Amino acid sequence: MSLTTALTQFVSRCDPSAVAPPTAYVEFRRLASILTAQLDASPSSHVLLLGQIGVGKSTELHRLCDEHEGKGQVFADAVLRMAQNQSYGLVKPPLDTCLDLNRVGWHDLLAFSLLWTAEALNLRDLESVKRLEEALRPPREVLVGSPFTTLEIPAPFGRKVLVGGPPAPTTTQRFRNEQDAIRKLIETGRAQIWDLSCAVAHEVERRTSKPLVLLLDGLEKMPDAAARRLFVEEGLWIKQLPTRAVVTGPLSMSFAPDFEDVEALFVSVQRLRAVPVVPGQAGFRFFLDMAKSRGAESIISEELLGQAVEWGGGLPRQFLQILSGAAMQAIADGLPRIEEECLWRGRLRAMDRWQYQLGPADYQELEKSDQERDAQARARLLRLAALIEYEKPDGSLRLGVNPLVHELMQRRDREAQRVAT
Amino acid sequence: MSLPSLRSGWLDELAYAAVVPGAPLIVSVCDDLSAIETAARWLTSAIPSLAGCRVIEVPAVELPMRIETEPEGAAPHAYLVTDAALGVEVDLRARWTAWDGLRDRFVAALRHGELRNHLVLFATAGRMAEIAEAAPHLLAVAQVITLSGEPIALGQEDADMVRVFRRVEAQLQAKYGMDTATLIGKVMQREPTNVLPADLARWEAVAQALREREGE
Repeated sequence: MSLTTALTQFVSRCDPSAVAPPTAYVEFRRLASILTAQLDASPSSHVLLLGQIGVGKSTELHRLCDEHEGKGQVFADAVLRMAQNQSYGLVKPPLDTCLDLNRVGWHDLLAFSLLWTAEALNLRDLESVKRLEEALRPPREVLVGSPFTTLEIPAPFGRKVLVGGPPAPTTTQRFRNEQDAIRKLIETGRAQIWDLSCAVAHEVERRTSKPLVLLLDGLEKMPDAAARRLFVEEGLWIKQLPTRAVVTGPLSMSFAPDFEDVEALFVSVQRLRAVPVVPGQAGFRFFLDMAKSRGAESIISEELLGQAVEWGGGLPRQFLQILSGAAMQAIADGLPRIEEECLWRGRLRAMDRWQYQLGPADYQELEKSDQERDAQARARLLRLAALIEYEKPDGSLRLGVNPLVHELMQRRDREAQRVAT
Repeated sequence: MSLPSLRSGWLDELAYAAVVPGAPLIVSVCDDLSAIETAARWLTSAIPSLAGCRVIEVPAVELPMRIETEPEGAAPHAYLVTDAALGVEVDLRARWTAWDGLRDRFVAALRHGELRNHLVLFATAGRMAEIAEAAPHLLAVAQVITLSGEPIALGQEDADMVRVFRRVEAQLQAKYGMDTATLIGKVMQREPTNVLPADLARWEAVAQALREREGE
């Protein structure tokens, strides 16, 4: 069977683990433009970006980079690139894959991000970078002034050297290898590490002639306790960040009673919520356009696409997962297009993970109204996207059960009834 | 833990998921270790025949190193990790938590530019609750396929889907003026029919899903 059909190309463009390429990007909220305006406002602009997993935060941050690149300004990505003649150096270090988000602090985040930037820009020779790297090495005894340090053992005895094994790690690799050790070092001299990191930021900016913008993405994946420690207990460091920054955070934080204190640390808080999907309205059309930009028109009817939009619950990733599963089913069934039954099978596939992620207590909480739920349960359900946060037309908030999870709840009820009879 | 009630794919569909260049991470949930062995054996023969991909079995402890050091330009691979859910509770959690953090690096390594490789992590239903706690972000971007030992058959809990599938079946029966049993009989006897190939594939898939499920 040929695997190079329109269906396979469509599946490839719906990959939930990939950021949408610029050709498939559909603008809805103009968030990238809003962020740009806020970053322009002040050299110490720090913006908090909140939103649940799968709502499109990383896509919007990539869009921000794309926009700057398009203007001949700046571009940075998971692999940092920098163009000439720009106004900002946007840096998006891979925080969630390199640092342990259970224990991370602002000092680790800042030092890691700037060292990663220096490595990516091939600027490890900067004096400030060398000093920060040295400060993050464990203290050790070295022999100074001894004649033995230069002693050469003459042939034929030669000298022993170590061979094999992995190469010596860079400092950012040491963050990945031995974060505990680095954390302990930072704790012994937090002020010094902060100042050395600031020096790196300033020297990189001078060398590149570009003010840096740190895009600290991935922090929304932090557990609640860790997020509280970072944003509330250590929040004062946010104001002292030496560069502009856009920081993502867990959505559940915004339900905490002291969230106002966190808000005060940022120039603004941007919330990315699920898109309301009422047929005929802008949100609904946004999803249709998103699918069409990936080539859906030739493989699925508009009516079925509308069904997928409703099941997507306003979360772009979930919508694409359903469509991708449906296209995969059509391929497996030997069909040239997504038919209705394929779409239902795609929906079934997209529901699968929640049967393991949700326990009996979660189902009980889902049955309750939001006023009855405790904050911890709400945070957990939002993190799993079993609950979805929507924005009402008046800007206020509404929480709803994910349509796929709702279907899973109904399946449980039907099974319970079957067992009972 | 009781066996899962929702099953989202069977062996053929898992094989397609592991060759079509979509989401490169796949978590395949099987009933037990022997079902994992069966599935791995099936993929080992099905994947090369579907798309010419190579199948490489990788021990869980070697996973990050193996997929990150694969040279660029090699033929597409499907990596199977059959022991992903083995181990004592603490080790299992630590392993999947680590993979959760490494998911973006896995995806980047699997992509190699346009060339897509796939990584199939096998788990047993009994360990999935622990895995789901340890790796929520990986599950959110992966294709999670709870495997059925045979092609998916709809049951009473799939009432909505049954209605849809019955409607499609009725449309096809009306279009060609014969019932499903007659069609299947003709197909089995290799008798010619006037059913268009795309309709035939669709009809067979629908009939298969609507067949009586074992034990019901």
